[in-house]
Amino acid sequence: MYVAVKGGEQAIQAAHQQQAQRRRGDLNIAELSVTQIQGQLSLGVERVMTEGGIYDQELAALAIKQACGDQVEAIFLLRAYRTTLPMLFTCAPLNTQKMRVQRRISAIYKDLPGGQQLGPTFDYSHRLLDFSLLAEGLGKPTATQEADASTGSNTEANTEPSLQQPFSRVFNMLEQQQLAKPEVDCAAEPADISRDAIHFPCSRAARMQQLSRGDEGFLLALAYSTQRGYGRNHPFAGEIRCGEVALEICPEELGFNIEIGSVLLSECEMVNGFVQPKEAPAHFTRGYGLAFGFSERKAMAVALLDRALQAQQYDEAITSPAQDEEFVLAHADNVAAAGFVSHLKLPHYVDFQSELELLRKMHQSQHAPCANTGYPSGNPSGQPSKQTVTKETDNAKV
Amino acid sequence: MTWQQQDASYHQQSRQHWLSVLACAPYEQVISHWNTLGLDPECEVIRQPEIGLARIQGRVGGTGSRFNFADTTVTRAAIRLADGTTGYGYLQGRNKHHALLIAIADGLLQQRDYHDQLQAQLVAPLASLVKQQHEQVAKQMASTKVDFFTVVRGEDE
Repeated sequence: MYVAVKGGEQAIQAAHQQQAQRRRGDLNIAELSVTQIQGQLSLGVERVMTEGGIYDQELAALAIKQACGDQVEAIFLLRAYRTTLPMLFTCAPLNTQKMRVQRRISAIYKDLPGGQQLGPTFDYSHRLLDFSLLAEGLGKPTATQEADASTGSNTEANTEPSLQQPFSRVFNMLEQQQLAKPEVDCAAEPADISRDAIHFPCSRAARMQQLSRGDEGFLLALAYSTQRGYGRNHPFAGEIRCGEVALEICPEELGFNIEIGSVLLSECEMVNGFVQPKEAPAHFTRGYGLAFGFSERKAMAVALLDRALQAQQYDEAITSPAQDEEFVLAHADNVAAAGFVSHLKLPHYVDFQSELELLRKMHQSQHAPCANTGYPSGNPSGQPSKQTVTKETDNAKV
Repeated sequence: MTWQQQDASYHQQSRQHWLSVLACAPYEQVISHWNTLGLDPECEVIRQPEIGLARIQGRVGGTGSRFNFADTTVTRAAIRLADGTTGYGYLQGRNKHHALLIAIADGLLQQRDYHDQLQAQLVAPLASLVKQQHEQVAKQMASTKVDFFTVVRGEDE
């Protein structure tokens, strides 16, 4: 338990000023604009939007600037801003079949309708530092612009988008051959964990929402743990696609749907180890992940955990952390996690004082001649101390 | 019978189209096309531009049950023209001027006197601009198409 303290306003103000100066950095160097962050640190912006739970590039970029690049702090800022806005609409469910695909890969079929398209990616790069990026402002064309210029006429000729086959879903093919069960809409109103706290066991909708907002590092580590043997589910990256999906709302005043914009998404469908139910043919199982922007590592982690958390449904033994719904979902949110860890910085003077006193009494009793009574000699009442329980109550009270 | 009641279904489709185009086109483009029209209709703002959220829902596996994925910022506004026509503006993001401009254009587009001019000089060029941008991205991305070849691993030899 922590206690309220007074005073220190000036020091706090000065500390915030110091933080503002640290944010600005060397005054001889041009200030970073929100537009620059939005345009040039897009993956950072996309992570903040995904975990902050709001698609708004400008706000996410502002949060990153304000937080000096601290992603968890930026996510917190965005979540806090979210609570100030009224909920005006619910968009029509995302139709990812109509995605304007930029990237689409499959690790299970080499040739598939629509083909494989890499889009922008770090894959296949050598992960060597590119020192040419250090030479700022020299007006040199970027590597991509150069590539566009050199291959432009060549690629345009044989890759006219209108001549392309559409990117049909990989899972459709598996479903048609009865190798996978189609995901069917149960038509239930989905839970909203941002309004009603999550309870366990929870619905898949609540789970998907919590995973979508969950910390990428935490989810990635847990997804990795399933690959290392802690709840194996034998995954293949069935399909990963990134691109823009239109957003539609149906305002009451109009009574019909209109498009109001679009979101850039990464979608991952994992094909997982098969099951052999008595009433149906053997089929693969599946996991699904969605994230804003080109955040496919996050989407893959979510898909792996979505499948790991279906363990009970498939009568699998729940032996590992990644399969434990409460363990995964109750610890996935980095705003909650950072909040509770950070609260340790709040004044715990009284708490600590009581422990200190107890420890001192124990020391005294060890050195005092009457130590064999088992009670501290300094205890005027001669009764045993009951102060050791303070720590355990911390968690429950906050 | 007003002009807009003559063919309700056509009108609805057409209105759906212009509201979507005006919302999806970049504001700089919308305002610059609007400015060339030289219109300044008398209108009353019946709903000040308001910023809020719209829930984005995904479907498990792309086709299955819905789940709340995240939110997006949205802005809405409504106006009434001198003759009583109401115009609405909705868009993703937080641009209040843009929402108001869509509402005004929506009001005018419902009026016979302005419809054709606005369709030709505002909606059509913006629609083709948006389409062009989509095509350009698709074209650039198509240059990353890849054919993977499986290399024989030699186990069978």
